[in-house]
Amino acid sequence: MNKPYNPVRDNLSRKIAQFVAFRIENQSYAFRIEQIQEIVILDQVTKTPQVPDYVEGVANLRGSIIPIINLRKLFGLEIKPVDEDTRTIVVNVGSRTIGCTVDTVSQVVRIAADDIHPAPETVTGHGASYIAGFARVKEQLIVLLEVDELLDPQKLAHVSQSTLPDLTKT
Amino acid sequence: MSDDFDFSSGMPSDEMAQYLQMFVDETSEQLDALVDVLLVLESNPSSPSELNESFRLIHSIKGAAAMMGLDSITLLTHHLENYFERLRSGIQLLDRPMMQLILKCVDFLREATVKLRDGEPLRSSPDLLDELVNRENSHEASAAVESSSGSRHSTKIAERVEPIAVEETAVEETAVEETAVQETAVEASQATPSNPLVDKRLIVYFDRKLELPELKAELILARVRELAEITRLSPAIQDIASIVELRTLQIWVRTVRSDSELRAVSEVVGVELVEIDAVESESSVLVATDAVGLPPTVLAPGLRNEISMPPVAANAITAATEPVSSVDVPAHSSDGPSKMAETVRVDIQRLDKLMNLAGELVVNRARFVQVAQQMSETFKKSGLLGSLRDLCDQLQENLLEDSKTTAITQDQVVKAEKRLELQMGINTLQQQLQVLEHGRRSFLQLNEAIDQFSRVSDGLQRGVLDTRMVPVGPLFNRFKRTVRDISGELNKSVNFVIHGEKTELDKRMIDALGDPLVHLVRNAIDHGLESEDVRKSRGKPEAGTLTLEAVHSGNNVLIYVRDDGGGINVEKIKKRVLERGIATSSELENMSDHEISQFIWSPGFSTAEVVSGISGRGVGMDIVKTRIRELSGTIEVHSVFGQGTTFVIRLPLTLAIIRSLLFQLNEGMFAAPIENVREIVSVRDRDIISVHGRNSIEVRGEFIPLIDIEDVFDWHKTRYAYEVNQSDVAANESDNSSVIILSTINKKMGLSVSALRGCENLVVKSLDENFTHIQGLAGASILGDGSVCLLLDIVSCVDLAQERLRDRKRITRKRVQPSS
Repeated sequence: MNKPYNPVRDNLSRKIAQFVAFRIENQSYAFRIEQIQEIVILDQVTKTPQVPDYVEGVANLRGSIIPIINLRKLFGLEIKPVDEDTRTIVVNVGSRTIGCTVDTVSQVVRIAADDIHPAPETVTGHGASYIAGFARVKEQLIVLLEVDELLDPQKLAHVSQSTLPDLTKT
Repeated sequence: MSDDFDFSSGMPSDEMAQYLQMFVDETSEQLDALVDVLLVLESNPSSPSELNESFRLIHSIKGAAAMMGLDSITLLTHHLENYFERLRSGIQLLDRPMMQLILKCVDFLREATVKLRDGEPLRSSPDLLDELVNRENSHEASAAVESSSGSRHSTKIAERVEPIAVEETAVEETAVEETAVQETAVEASQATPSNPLVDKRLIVYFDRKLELPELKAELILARVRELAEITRLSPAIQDIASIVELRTLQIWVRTVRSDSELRAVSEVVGVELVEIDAVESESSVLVATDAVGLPPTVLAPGLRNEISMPPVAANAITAATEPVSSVDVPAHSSDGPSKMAETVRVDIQRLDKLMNLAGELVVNRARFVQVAQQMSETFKKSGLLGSLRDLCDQLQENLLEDSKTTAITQDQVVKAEKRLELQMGINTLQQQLQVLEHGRRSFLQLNEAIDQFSRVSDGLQRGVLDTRMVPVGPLFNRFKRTVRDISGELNKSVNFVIHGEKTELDKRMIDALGDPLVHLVRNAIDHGLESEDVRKSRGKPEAGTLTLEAVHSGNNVLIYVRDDGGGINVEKIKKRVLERGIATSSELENMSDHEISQFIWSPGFSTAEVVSGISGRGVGMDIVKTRIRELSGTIEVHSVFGQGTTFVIRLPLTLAIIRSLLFQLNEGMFAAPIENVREIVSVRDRDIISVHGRNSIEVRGEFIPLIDIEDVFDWHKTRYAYEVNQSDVAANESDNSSVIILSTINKKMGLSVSALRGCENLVVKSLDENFTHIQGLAGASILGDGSVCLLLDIVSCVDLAQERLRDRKRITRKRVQPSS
């Protein structure tokens, strides 16, 4: 944070939401913190048949079986081998629990509602309703993602078709 | 009297809710039993034990409903009870329209219990009630046919009061009717010769909110007195005024009047309910005969001529002169010995929770067993410990020999020091070995403990499973009614047979099976069984046979729905398939009849030429299949044209735990339910027969298609990092490969696997829960090492493999055609 954070002042004066930021390739993304259940390091994922390639498979999360979606692949990028930074963000989509793999989880950021700008229509126009908006934090652009729109099993195929080629290539 | 269930009355609501739950459960059981009894009665209307049983059931439902303040139920059952009372005493005979009406009432009651369970308000049943009352009246009217037409008319007026009084319309209106009642009462008070003098008991229940009930009591007494001789009273007349809260009034009377007449005069505003039952009196037979003045047997034929009643009913009137002797006092009959075992009602969600916990325990146990196995390498007697001890002993020996042979010189002194050091080292090693030995003993104890733990967890798991198991009997018996209704509607005579009703299934499954079975049964009667003429011409008995059978088979329960009808008409299916464009004619040519009959499972498929109200909308079979699949079950159809169709539903005993064979494939660890594994064979590469790109193997003279998992499933080629180690493990260099012969009821296939990993009880979790259903997979399970293995659904795997092989052929053909 560039200036000292004063919770009383900041929260009273502006509506502030917390986001968990993560990286895929060179782009920062973020989920709202309330939508995230936990962040884990998985060592085993069982590959499942009959699923699109962005589904890595299923994994055991303390006794429940959750699907693992590879966000790189979902966004149309090549996969990269698992390294020590690789994390799986476990989110709740409705009653479902779903994991998604990202390159690295960077930080928890506080973003004021005023600082969130709608995404350009060229991006959302492709049916990318999973983009909640853009925010600039410390000169860095963070794409805020809407978990319910991005990872709902029914909407995944749609998301996969309308990925962000222009954003991810920068 | 409100028909809504009023929680505010009387008891606190949570207590009420608890009783309500009990009421709903009990009533639904009693309704089931009632339908059973009714169906018996339908073929044998005068069977005394069934009549008594239905009376008892209705009575106890009524009693419970009255206690709960559920007026609409109380009222309806009350009239039903009256009716059965007459049936029981033989005054009336159960006829077909009445049966229909009673069944309608049962439906209403069932609906009411469902509503209560869901917390919806109850609606009243004015239609049913009216009809019941009308029948009651018409019967009474015909019984009273000997009296003048005026009195007959008046009887009707008198009885019309009843529904009005019950529905509690405006007070003024009732008052008018009341005067009418009084007039008619006087008019009709001359004893008619056909009505014997009978002892009865009236129980008047006052409205709880009624003020000054003692005044009402006196009014009722005055009115009853005009019709009947009051023999006894409870509470006694002098006590009535002094009782603080008069809720009920019991009046014993001796009268010639019918129940409904008595009811009419006693049901005044403020009275919730009047119960009338016949009571025993030593003198009743004598008195009755005296009053009639004729011996009953003489009376009967005369009656038969004048009243157009079935002969049995006429005889029944003679019997009615001594009705009480054969009849228990109903108030006590509900207290009679019950056949039910002692049970505790448990919320099924609690059982689900218990079941899940038991499942977790099984996973944990597997984990323990696995860890112990890994440790046993270390602690084996011949393993690490043994070789360490040997080494230690050897060192000691060498040292001793060394010290014996050498003399003591200066140089040797240094050596001796070294030796001493060595000796000390050996001593420490021996001490450590002791510790290790101790550890080994602990490990053995641990092993024992794990064994014990396994036994207990197995027992617990079985126990939890058992608590959820209920016999399929009640479910099957419900179909007696369905079959009766449908066959009546379609005018087909059906001989309905039930086998294996004691077979037990998980309660959840029983609940979920109802709908699919109804559909199959309907289909069987509607489409399966031919009309009587056709059957005759085919040399079959006129009545078709429909069998519902449950059989226990290993960890499965098989449910057969079998009919001896026309079987599936393959030509019709072909026609429909082409019409709907589900497949092309060239594809159909390549298919066997059996394969073609599988099209009935396609969505939107129906071959019924006439869409009837019962079936033929074509939404059915695929939904049946989906439902069964949701229960981790499978359904298959076998049909012989002209001879009949059999549907086989295979269900796991429980939804949660399936004994499975684990095996390794290139793609990871998989499991197949052990019931589907026929055998495991070892096949050499050169024994694989390859014809037209399809592999098969010969097992004891039988050719079985050999399928690779790649033929069943589409795997995307993306390799995520986690898989690497697994495919390394899977590498199988040897010439022989293991093939698992998987079989379903009528399909077989061989699946080549990389390695076998033994049998385990898998706690199956659905993939739908967090993800979506994947065709060919029945679910997934967590293994002892924490990894996830996929459980194959063999039936759909076979389908998938066939589909994909067919598609592949089509694609290659298409590819070939343009070039040639």
